[in-house]
Amino acid sequence: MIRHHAPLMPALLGLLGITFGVSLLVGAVWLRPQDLLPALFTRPWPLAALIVIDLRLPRAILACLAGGSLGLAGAVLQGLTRNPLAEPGLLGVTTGAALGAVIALYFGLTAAGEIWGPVMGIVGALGASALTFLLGRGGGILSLILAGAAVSGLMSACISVALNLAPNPYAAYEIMTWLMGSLVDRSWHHVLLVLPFVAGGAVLLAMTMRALDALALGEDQAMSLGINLERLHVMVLGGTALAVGATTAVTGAIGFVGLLAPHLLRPFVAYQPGRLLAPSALLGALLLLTADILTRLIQIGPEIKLGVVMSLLGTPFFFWLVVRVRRSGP
Amino acid sequence: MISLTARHLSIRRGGRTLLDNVSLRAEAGELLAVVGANGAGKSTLLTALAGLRKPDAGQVMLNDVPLSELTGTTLARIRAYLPQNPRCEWPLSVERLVALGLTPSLPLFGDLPATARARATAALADCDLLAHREQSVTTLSGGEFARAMLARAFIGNPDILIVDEPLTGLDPRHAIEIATRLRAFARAGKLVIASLHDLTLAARYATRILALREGRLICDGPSGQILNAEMIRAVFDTDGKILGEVDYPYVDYRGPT
Repeated sequence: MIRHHAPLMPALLGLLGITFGVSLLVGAVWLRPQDLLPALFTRPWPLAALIVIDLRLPRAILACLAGGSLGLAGAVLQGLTRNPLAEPGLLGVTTGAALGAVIALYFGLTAAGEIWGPVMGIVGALGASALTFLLGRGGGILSLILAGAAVSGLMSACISVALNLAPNPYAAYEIMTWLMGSLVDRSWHHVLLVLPFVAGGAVLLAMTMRALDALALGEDQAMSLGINLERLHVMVLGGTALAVGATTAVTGAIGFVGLLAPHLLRPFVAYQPGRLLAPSALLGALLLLTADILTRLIQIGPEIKLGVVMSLLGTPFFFWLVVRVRRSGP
Repeated sequence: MISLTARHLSIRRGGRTLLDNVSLRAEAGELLAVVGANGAGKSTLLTALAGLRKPDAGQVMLNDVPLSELTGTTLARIRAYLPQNPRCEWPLSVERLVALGLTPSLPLFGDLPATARARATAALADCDLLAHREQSVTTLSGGEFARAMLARAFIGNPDILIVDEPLTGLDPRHAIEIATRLRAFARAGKLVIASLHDLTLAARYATRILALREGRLICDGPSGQILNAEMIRAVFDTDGKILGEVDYPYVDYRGPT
């Protein structure tokens, strides 16, 4: 039976708003709403206002941008491949971003300026997606996915090389921790850096809506309905590279969001690939924001990384999936 | 009046010639049955006529315009195409599946406009699917699914309908039902091109039969005139006889010689 949940978007928006508010209050210094609000209207800003404006607000916004990009791109890629296990890293974009950032760390560019990591990450993501496109073009979705896997493998191999040849254990450690993903100490510079990329990417990805719907009928029928598959591939790849590439460059690799968000919501939009995009972006943002709050709540020695929390939250989902498939299977 | 003309079409793939110098002209009002053995090039011909596959030589013209000069969306509004064994890869509702046929005229964003919903209702009613409107397509029977796909093709009111093996896998009642709908569509002044395995149904429902063998067009004519034992042998390498009454012929195969 098909379920219709009209208030899905308002519900997600409401939850996201509440979680966003909570994320501003939680951390090393706990704030109460009744203290924060007056603080924001006091000049000069007291400490509470500074903590929120300089530290937590950019961090929460980045969590939303990153989670939203992952959720949106995940929904688009699952629609494109018609495979509920597709995720934004499928086309090599995230490993490309990671490699770019790792190169910046490896050659000490980040010492020259914090922003070099993300900048190199974006370069890496765009480079990887261009490579995937050139390698996989003209052969339908399968060749695109294969090209993505090949490029992804190449990028991972290069990251391993960087780890292997790291000049000292500290450099290797720095790379490893970066790869685990985090939103700690991200500033407005990072927000401003990724915002145009995320906006551009989101527009490209949102424009694939009708094509994804038509692809439910397979590639032949989608083509017969006037969908230009080559153009669609460019939009998906470009959109993912811009949005996910840029945010991965800032946050590090974060798995599961792009896989989980669309998968969980599909029944609520009556399985329509196009209608899944906006809710999936919201749920992605909600998931990452929640995971980021958890990193601040879990106090066990060193900071627990965002990507690690997301994996811990995400893997039970796989177990659940296995159980469900076993039940409905032959 | 709409017409589709193929001029010296050839398609090769991996060193094999799938379609060899095929020329034909089909006009509105015709139900053209493309017959031939497995691998004779029927599907290849249909995808080329639908403009989904660029020929290696020759061209297909819609009226007097080569298909290659039309945009995908323009062509999509004029002709509908259903592949062999069409699928729906998500458990959409029947109404949503049918409405996908309107893709070329939908706005870029947003839910289905009211006009699209009204057209979906009409298409569902035409194909006796109103009762299944909200049902998931995965729960439809084979016959219902075939009807839903036909409704998806009819909904845009195309001038040309190209269907690959629409009757395969259907029981006799549903096969006859779909064939009747295709014939009604042709009689309403549209051009229908369908590949068919069943010569009996081709003889009864098509206005014209076109036979392929190894990528070449070996005969083309009104279904009442060209069907005979020699033709069956030439096309299928099998002996056969045309039995039955004048308006209700049936083809009886007698095994290979």
